[in-house]
Amino acid sequence: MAMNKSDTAVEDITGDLAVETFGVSKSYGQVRAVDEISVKVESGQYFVLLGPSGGGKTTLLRLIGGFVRPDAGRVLLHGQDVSNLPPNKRSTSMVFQSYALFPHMSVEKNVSYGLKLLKLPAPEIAEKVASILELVGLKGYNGRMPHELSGGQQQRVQLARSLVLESDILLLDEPLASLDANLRKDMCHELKRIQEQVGITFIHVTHNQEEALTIADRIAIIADGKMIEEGVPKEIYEWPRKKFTADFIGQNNLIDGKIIGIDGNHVTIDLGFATVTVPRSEQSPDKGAEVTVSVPAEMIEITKEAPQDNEVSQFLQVVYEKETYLGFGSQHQILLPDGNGFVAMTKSSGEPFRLTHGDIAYIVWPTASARLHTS
Amino acid sequence: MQDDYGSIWSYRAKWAYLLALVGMLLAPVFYVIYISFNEYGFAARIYEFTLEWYVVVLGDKILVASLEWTGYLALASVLSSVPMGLLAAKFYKRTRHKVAFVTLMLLPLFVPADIMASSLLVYFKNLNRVFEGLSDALGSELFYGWFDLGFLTAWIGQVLYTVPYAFVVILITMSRYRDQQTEAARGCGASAWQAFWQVEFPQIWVGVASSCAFVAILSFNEAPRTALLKGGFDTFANVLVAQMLNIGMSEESYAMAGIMSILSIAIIGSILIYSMARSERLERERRVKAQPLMSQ
Repeated sequence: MAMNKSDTAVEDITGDLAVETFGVSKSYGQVRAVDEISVKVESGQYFVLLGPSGGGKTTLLRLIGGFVRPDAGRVLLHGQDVSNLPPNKRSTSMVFQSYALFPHMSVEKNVSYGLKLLKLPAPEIAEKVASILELVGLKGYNGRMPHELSGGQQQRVQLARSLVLESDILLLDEPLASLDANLRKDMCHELKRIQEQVGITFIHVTHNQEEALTIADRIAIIADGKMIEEGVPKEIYEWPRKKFTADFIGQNNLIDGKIIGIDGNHVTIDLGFATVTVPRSEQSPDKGAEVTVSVPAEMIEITKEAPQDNEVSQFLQVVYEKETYLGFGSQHQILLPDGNGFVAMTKSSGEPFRLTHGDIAYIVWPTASARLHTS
Repeated sequence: MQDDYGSIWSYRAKWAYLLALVGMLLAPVFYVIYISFNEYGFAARIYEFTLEWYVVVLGDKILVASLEWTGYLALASVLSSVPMGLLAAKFYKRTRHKVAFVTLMLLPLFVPADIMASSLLVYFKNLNRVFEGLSDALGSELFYGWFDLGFLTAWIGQVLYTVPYAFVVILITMSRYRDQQTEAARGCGASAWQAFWQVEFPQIWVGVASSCAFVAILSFNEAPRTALLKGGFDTFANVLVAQMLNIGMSEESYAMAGIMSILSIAIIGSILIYSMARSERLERERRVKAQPLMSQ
């Protein structure tokens, strides 16, 4: 899996790529919904396009599916340029955000719709429909009308309708967005199970990071029409390269500063009110560069006593603000000396927390857990 | 729906007002129908029910011919105005300039019928001259008389009048349709036409059928445009108006008015009843859909 910003990415084609886009762009009036995005998705991968609403991920998915034509750039499916082909001429099928089932057709007719267009013999259609309904857990629902199904069942029918066509690539546009939280979790696991069973490429659009982290083999972060970064879920969550990703994924604290020293694998940052040491990033900025440090909220400990100064951890003196109880743990609001807020997460220990509003406290985090961002 | 905190008398008064308003609007129509069944016609002291005047009307060759011509005109208008209205409604859903589009589509309705009719009359006359000039230039008679007043000109006039109505009626039904279903059909391998015919049309056919009925009724009721543009044939409404102007309202006139009113009320009434029953069914389905989702 690789991502490039230019057309030169075409040289990286290895033959087992399901989807490639080369600098695709799409504008609606003055709004540039997708801005020169290049992405490659391997065959059989569960690929997630994650980002805030209005960031362009659905437009990118629709460009891949042929529902919109790119203003610039190319879309390749299995190495073949399909940029100018309509959706019915592409080897993709799509599951939509809202229940795009045909309301005048039963479950069976919805699922068999595409097969009938292919003019397959009736017994073959019946066999395929029965087997796919079993796969999505809707055996025996053939005669039901869409309005007789729950939200989750309707999405399963949509999934079955797409899967039964045996397309190589399944596009899912926020398929779980209209489901309640519990149902969404169940469906996440279901989608992953089905994808592993059928072994085709899934490209799933969502703005929900939990959903993305649960389900994805790889995640691409998309915002403001641009590809921000891409990687495996653990990498994206634990080692985001971009400041935007750190801000968007998980709960990270961002502090701006300036590099004042570089020593081997570490750099020293002047935050204005204190200095901290962070691991050196791939981007290797020079001394004097303006940078941002991100520290995951769950890596921070809060103590009343000043910790020992050492290389493996960093600490700052802060003012404790308040605790918000979240059930599995608590979120603590802290005030840095420069007046900016900071957040720490602690797990519920059963013991009452000792700090109260206005107390002077110390926040400590492992040096290795902080990241350096230059952009 | 009754307001739980409102007075029952205020609720009843609103219903009484509504019924009075509808009664006032429909009283003249029903009165004409009532008179059309009287053996002794309008203003007679005695009322004796008869179908005689209807038999007379339907036995009158001129009237039956006018009825036939009106039927042809209605059929031609339905076959052209409804597809045009449907295409316009589909285009409306895609365009970003919706207000401008609707304004342009509905603008012809704000031109008074007589002015539109006389404008078309002048337009067709001039068009004929242009075509004749073209024929002369080509040394042929191919384009002679294409726009002489007749069925074609009356038809064009009727289409200009009915397309905006057809557009509005279809658009109302189409607003419930979600375009994602078309995209889903395309994603299943359907061509644009297959997606329309197999997925969209079954969901909007009520609007299309209503539009057909509406255009047909408008064709039967319309008089000023056809009067000026029809040329050598008569429509039912033209004969009725001519009769009223020449000899006043005769028993046959009442019967003719009765036929037009009964037909219109029957068609619109059936559509209304069907639409209300359908909308109630859809509402019931919507309520079922809105039930809390079960983990399944």
